[in-house]
Amino acid sequence: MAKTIMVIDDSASLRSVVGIALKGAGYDVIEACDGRDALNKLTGQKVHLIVSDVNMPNMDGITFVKEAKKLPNYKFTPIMMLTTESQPEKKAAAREAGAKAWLVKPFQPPMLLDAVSKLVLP
Amino acid sequence: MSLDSARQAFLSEVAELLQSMEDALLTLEDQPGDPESLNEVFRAMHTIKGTGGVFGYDPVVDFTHRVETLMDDVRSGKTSLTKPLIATLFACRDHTARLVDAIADAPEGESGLDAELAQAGAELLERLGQAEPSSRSAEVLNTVADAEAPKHLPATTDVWTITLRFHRDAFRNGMDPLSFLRYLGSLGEMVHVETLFDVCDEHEDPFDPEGCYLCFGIAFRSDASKETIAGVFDFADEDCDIRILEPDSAHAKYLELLSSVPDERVGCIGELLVGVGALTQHELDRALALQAQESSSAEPASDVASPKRRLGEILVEQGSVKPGMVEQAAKTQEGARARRQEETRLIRVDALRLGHLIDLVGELVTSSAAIRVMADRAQMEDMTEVVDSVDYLVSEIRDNALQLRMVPIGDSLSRFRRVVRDASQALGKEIDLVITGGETELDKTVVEKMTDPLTHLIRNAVDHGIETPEVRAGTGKSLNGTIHINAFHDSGHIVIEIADDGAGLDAARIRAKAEERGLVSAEDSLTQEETLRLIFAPGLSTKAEATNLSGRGVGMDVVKRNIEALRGSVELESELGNGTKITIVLPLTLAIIDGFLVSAGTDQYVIPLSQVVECVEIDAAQTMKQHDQHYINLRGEVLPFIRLTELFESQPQGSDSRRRESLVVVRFGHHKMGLVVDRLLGELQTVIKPLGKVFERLRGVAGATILGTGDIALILDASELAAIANTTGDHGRKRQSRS
Amino acid sequence: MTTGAAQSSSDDRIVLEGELTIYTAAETFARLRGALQDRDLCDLDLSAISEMDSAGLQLLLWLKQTCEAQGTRFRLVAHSEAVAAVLELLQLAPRLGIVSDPLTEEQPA
Repeated sequence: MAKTIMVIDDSASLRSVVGIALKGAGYDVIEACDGRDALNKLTGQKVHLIVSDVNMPNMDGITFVKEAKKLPNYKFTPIMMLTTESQPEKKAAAREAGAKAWLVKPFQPPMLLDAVSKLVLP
Repeated sequence: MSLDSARQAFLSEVAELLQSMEDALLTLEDQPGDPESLNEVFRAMHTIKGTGGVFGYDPVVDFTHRVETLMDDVRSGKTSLTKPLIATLFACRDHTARLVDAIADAPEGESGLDAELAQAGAELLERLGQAEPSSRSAEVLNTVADAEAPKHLPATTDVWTITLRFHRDAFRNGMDPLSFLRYLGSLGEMVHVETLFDVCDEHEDPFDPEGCYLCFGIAFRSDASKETIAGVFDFADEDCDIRILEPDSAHAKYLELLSSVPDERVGCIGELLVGVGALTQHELDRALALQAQESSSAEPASDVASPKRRLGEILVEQGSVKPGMVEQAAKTQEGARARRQEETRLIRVDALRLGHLIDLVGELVTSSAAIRVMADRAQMEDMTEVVDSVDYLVSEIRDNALQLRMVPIGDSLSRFRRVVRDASQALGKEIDLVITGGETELDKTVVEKMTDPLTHLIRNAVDHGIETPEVRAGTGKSLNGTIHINAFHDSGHIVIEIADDGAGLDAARIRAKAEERGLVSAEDSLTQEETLRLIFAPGLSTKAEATNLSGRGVGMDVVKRNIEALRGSVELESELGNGTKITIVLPLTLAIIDGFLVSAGTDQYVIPLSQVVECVEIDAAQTMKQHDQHYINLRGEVLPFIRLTELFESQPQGSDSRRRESLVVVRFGHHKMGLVVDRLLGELQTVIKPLGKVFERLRGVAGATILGTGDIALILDASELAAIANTTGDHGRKRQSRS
Repeated sequence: MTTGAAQSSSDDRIVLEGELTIYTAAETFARLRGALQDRDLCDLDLSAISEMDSAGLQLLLWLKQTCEAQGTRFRLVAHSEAVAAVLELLQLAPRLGIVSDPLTEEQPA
């Protein structure tokens, strides 16, 4: 059974490149464009990993993590944040909220796959 | 969405972001501090960088990253947003668009970055001051470090021992230990795995199915480095105690590496171990944190600080390294320490602290002068002796304190290489910049304040001075123009010369322009030198239209004012067709100088001692005779002189005929002149206090100082006095210059 | 999401189905504890497990340990490929009483 990864980023092109890379590696992918969209799309299906940007319109990544941790079906789902080296305070806030993994932007698909597979192998 | 359509989406995102960046830049031109616009520019670069990275568009990522870094500095106030910087940012915006276009048009897998585009980007980054490659991300850094570090272990195929003790909350935090182990399996062979289910007493600690009670011991065979293996557990970091012990064969290699670490790379013991790869940075951080925690929780009551546990001890206890390793590291460290003892150690000190120290030294100088006065009045022999030695010490302290702030001027001059290159490129000129005397030292505060004037002068030389290669060819000059910056010390001052072999100044045109602007009248007769100096007058620009590089608002008058504010002077030599040489003379420091105290009439004056050549007694009658010319014959040399009482309209003491006067000969650059004073009062250390706005236009005075008696003495500026003296003996002119 | 349902089949096996993960751990744990009461043989059938994570594995380890403590005989009589993969990775097959090659009675979907 393929593992499912949700990708949340406001850049459609980033989402699709990431999506292509993940699908290529054998994952199922759900895309969402911001935190709110992501919450709407978490409707009970199994998600093994959530990869989320921090800065997004409507609902930012940190708020999303807090909300996701309240959902019974997703409270244990690992969340990887896409951060930048220039935002240590954001990283601390996301960690506090419950995100456990990090990937520094900009990254290339192989780096993402490598990081993702430490948490969930396809 | 296919990869192609993703690429299309990226292009339109970039277009949008660049548009909003442009809007923000336009706003910033009017309101340079607008935080929202600053953020907008930052965000545009940041987002393009992030998304570009995913597509593997390295040139875009590199470029936008550096612009982003700069914008980060601007947002935090580290860099100020000047007009030229905004202009450059516009160019950066355009360049980003070009980079992205080039990539979009390029065949799959190619960046489309040709030499021209790369060059253009490099130049922009230079203008931004972002030319140095900066770290793009920790990941990239690490990769580079790995690649460049031959000190890392060569491949060994041996068995590592890894123990993982997951914390109770690991599952709840989204950790699945199995994932890490699966990933680990991809790096090598799991020779043996021991799974421990660690529930002891059901009654005391009932099993919680959502808690994690798992521990793993793994024998792992792999060629991977310790860093790589530790990297597997990066994300488990907070939820797991991780120990990774190297194979025995690697252990031997680490020991060998440790004993051969070159001295300059020996840091503290932890860094040493990390350096050879025996310890990961994370393991070190953890041990250091523990060490700090232990020492802070140690008995605060005891006077003697409880002995801090040695780092090596903690590392061994944590299971990060084997004991032998720590011993070897300690040995290496000891050896290096012994060898390094004689080397100079540098400390970084806050400039504000230094400034404060120098202020205090200034106060000390003034106070010790006061003591000297009191000692003299009391006429106590032994006290005078003590005061002498205090004086000596104070002057030593003063020199040493000032020395702390001295920096070689070369560091700030070398930035002009960039200025010249950029500017000459923009104008299609070939210009070589030659810098000599870069090791000459002067006060850092002076260096900082000279940056703007020097930049302006150099841009002028590039812009107006050096001709285009075509013109130069026509006049028989070499195609490459040369700008020569030279710095050297001269009698307590620093001299900076900026010479170009360009077109030179056209005195006739300057004259015409000056007349047009009403700065001089047609009847005035001016020497060549006086005419050239007119370019320092406000509102005179000889170039018909201002170019991008110079002539934008800031004129030569501002340059001159800036230099004079530093108690310096600027002179100009130029020959039409053969180039221009600008000579700037600056005091080495702004704070304290050795002075020579004289009195004239009822007032006292200080002449910077470094400018005093000699003192001669003169017969009052002898000078009176020559009153009209204001020249004196000193051992056959004709010397212009100024009588301070006349210059400052101070009341002369005693009757003219009985007065004995002294002549102080001062030298400034290649000028020499005499100052006629009533009495010579001797040397003293002088703390320079700037004069207020009211006295700004007072010529010949550089500042004031407070004497030991509490009186105030004016500090004379020999360069301005020389200028006054040289304008013949015409009283009218002197008066005019003082007004 | 399907939960790992425990059922008693006719031959008194304990059968778990669906996913055996952190999300189902609490519920499965409660059922297993109930099912263990007054039982001297625990035959566990994991052939319908679609997914197993560390929490699921830990539950197996708990079950075995508890059985041993109360004198119940524990046997893993059947398991799916998902279970086999985990046991293989951790080299746990012998410990959980599987001596033969992992038998896959049912292929997971």
